[in-house]
Amino acid sequence: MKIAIRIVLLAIAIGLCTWLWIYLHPTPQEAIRRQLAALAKSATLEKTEGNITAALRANEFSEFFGREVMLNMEPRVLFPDSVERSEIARIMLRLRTESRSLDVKILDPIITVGGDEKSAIVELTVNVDAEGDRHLLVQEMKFMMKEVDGNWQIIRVETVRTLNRAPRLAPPETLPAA
Amino acid sequence: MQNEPVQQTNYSWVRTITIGRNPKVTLIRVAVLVVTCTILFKYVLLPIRVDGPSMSPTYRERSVNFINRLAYRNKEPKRGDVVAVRYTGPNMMLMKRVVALPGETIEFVGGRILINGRFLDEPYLNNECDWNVKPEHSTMRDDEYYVVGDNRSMPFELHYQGGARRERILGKIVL
Repeated sequence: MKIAIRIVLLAIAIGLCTWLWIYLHPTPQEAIRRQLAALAKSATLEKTEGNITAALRANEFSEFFGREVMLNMEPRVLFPDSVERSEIARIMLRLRTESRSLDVKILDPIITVGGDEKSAIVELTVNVDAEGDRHLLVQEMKFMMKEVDGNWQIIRVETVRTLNRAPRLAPPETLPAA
Repeated sequence: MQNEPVQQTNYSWVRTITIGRNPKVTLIRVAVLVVTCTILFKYVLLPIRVDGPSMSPTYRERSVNFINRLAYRNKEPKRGDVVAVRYTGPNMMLMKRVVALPGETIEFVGGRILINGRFLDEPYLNNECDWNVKPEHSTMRDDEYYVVGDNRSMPFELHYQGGARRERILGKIVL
């Protein structure tokens, strides 16, 4: 019985050491996963947030992005081809001051790290719940990320269509006869 | 001394209820149950909660259902099947009905669906619809299924629908 207890304790100790090692030396996938969790937390807006906190959080949010971020987002008419980090902070601050509360979640990230382990493509689902409006936004996205000084930064953002080719409404004069 | 046997009996009764007559067997049963439930509800029957009106009234909001992930293991989705279409993973999915199969052409005329120029019989529909849509690319590709919700009383622009690639169809709704 004593041997069994010793084996169990040894297994627990090995497990804890492994967990601690992984925590302190994360793989690129794990580092990106943590970065995405921090990004979602930073984008989340609480009701009671003051102006100073909003400014700090907006700035913190922009730090997840590279100096210039390439965009390929739909609808194309609403989004430019690229945006600077300072502009992201400005947009985020405006959003935070105009919205009451937002709960941002990043779900099911699929992380593909490049051979150099310095770049990665992340496919993920963004879910935004607003006060009184669940699933205000559910959007599949693709991020291109790059490691800069130990931090993974987003350098390209794309929207992904979950369903293809949704038909568009036709002008009345071109409708087929019923 | 007289109270002792009574206390012993009470203790046995509580012990039997909580950990059973044989704790080792109980432990094995619990382990088997946990493993079975984990496998069943993660890889076979995925529990979901319906959120949103697009499948109303067939599936009410906040109702609970399951996705059979093995339903399309050896066969392909059929027209009329209610399926779960995944985003990037199983934490967020779309619940829609398959109306057009690969290679077929779809359009909406007066709220009814035309498949390859013939009206589709949809007995599950329960509300009025006035969608008139001239599809831009209406023919499904080889691995594509057109999916749409049952609530056609919604404005067309608000009703998320379109071609779902086969790899995105996670399974069939059970109930």
